[in-house]
Amino acid sequence: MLNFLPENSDLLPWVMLLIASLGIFVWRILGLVLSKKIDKDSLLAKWINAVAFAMTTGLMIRIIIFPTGALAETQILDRIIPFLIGVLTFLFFSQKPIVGLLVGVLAFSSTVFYNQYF
Amino acid sequence: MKKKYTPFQKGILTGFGFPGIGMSAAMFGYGVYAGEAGLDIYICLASLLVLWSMPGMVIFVSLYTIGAPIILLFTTVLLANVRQFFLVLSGMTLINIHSHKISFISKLLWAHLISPTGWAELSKARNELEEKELLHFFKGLTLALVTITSLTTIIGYKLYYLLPSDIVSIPVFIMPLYLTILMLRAVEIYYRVAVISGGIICPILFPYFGDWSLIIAGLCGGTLGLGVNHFLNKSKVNA
Repeated sequence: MLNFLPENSDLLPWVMLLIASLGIFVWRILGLVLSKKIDKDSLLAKWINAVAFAMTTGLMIRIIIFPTGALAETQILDRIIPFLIGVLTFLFFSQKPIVGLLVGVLAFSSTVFYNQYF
Repeated sequence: MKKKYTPFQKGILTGFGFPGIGMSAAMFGYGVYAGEAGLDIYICLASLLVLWSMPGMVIFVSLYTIGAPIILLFTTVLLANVRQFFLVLSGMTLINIHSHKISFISKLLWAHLISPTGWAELSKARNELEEKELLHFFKGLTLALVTITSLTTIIGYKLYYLLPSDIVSIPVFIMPLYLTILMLRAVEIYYRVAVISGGIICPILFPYFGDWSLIIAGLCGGTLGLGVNHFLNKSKVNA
């Protein structure tokens, strides 16, 4: 794996972690440095924010439809329907977003408990 | 009388609320994953703090445990984290980090601690706080998020086998719903269009493009949002 370290070295996981962190730091440093050049009220800043909005929402919907970990143990409809219920409730009560969140989580919890115990 | 909190305190309170619960639930899952993979607990915790990105952390554990070559590890983490660039660029522009008299290392630390949750809370807080207060808010927020996620990662690492995975899925469900609602609260039309189109495009493309679907959805959604905004403004002027 690494020529200068034996396979079972205690340092190996730390070196691997360092390598992985470099892969992320590249983007963070680039983002930090380039943010100096951008006026926050410019069209470019708006576009970057809009890209971040679209990406974050895309990521969240992806977690619901193509989850990993514990969420993947549940049925797709058991996730999508409570999620939609939560979002729709929020759209009806947009002044109180907590209502949408609570209703969605309650709906999801109900399906989980129903599948677990009935 | 309603108590007035400083931006830093407000950040801490926000971090220990739903954003913290949602994020820590995901990190609980990561703790489990790392524990099952046989990772040392110190490496597990260090990977949380050093990488601070779920895709990066999962890739690290997966490739480390199969003994993948370092070039593969570096490339995979690099390609899976392009979104960090946009989040940091947007987050640092929102905070206007360069207007604060702090060292480059401090700036890099705050850039490092940008996550989708942190960025979403930041974009919400910019409507409630003054620009110069946003950094203090973000400091409080990240302090809370780092604390709560570190704790739940350790708990996940140690205790997961005691809980059924169905029950664990409930707190994990909070984060995607909470952040989607937060995104939908955007007032400006271009953000709304970006949110809706990003939410539609990403899952459609995911089976074909994997992690790249996020970047494609972000670029298409963001551009579409600004395009629609431009078109609407033009129509208003012509009317």
